[in-house]
Amino acid sequence: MSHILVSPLNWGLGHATRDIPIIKNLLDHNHEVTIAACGNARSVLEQEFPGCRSIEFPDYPVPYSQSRFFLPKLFAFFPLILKSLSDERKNLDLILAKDCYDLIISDNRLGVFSSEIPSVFITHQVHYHLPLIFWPAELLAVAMNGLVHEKYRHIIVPDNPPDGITLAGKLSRPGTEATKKRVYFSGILTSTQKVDGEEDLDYLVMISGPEPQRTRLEKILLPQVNTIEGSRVILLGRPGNHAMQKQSDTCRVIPYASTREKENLMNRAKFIICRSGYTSMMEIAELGKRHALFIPTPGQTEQEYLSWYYEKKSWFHSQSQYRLDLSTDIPIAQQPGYTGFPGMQKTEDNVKRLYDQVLARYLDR
Amino acid sequence: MDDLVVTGALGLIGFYLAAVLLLFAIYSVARLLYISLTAGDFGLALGVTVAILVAGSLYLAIGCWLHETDRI
Repeated sequence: MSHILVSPLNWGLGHATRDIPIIKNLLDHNHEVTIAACGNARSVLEQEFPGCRSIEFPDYPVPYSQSRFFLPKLFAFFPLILKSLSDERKNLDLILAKDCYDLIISDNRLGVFSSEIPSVFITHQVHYHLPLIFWPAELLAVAMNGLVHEKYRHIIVPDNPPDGITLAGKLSRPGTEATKKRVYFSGILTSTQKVDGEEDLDYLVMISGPEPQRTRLEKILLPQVNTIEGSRVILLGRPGNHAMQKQSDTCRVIPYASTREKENLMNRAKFIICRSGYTSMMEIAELGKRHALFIPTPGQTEQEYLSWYYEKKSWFHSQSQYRLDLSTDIPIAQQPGYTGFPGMQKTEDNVKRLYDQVLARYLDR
Repeated sequence: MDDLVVTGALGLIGFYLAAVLLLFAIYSVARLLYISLTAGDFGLALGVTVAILVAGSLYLAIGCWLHETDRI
């Protein structure tokens, strides 16, 4: 039995939830897993794995912006992030001094690696997307990513290889030799599972993501959702508020749903309206959903790129929240020209292959 | 200090320095353009304007080429 330290970033729940199938697989192989995280990411993993030890391990401040100008705020946040990175390195030394580990799995936490313990890094962004006007900064970011990746044995990218059906487009395309040498394309990884059953819900609206943009989208979407025909469920993504509100016989508003409730609703939905975050994309690919409308978070270049990429591929329709009109955007998104994601290998196979081809070589079998 | 943090700090200093240099260059060119116009030296003003347009177009053309060739 080996001991693994798993440490996801707490910028949204996506990093923690995509680690769930990996942790399950490690536990199935009778390994011991310690979770080192903070905030909601830690809470989700503690709920999912009550038998695992969990350590409070703070990460970086979240530079989300009230306006669509996310990048200037991110640049201004760099010194704070650097300070947090320095603290993260010191805290990691303390954690590693207290216990013995055979493997470290860092999900997008830049400072969670060791020169003595094999360390792997999970990210779907080996290439950051910036607006074209900032192309020198994009090239610089690719080079900086290469420097970070040199610290790890493997860079695990939860996407298909670039020569196949890639869900993250250029974001998962390695740009430096250091990254190319270490990259392993695992395929999609998500805790959401497909359940055979009837699709009896016409629309599922998931209003999620960081504040204050989540509340803004709620204010834009709620009045519009009342005007569409059919059964509708709206998930508001407000943690701490569990009281269900019923708007009408065909419309339910759920302030906060557990991961299992959300999985059930996603399985039942014929049409999904959500942010174009990569975790949601992997969930939709896993469930094989064909019809959806994506609304990128303003200023989040990753989501804006994915929306553009899926339009270009004619997979899904996207619309800016500032120009959103459900009465016209839903019919567009339902046109047969939008095919949904092509078929691809699912999490169950991907996580087994990841274990056999990468993780197992560092663990007792 | 950890080498990743040192690299990050150096990168950050370089980034901010580049931003300051860029702002200084924009200020200097704008000042030169203003002085040439107020002094009635329209030849110089035209030259500076053409240089700005050429440099800007070149910058955008490189960006578009990198994008079209899938490098960014």
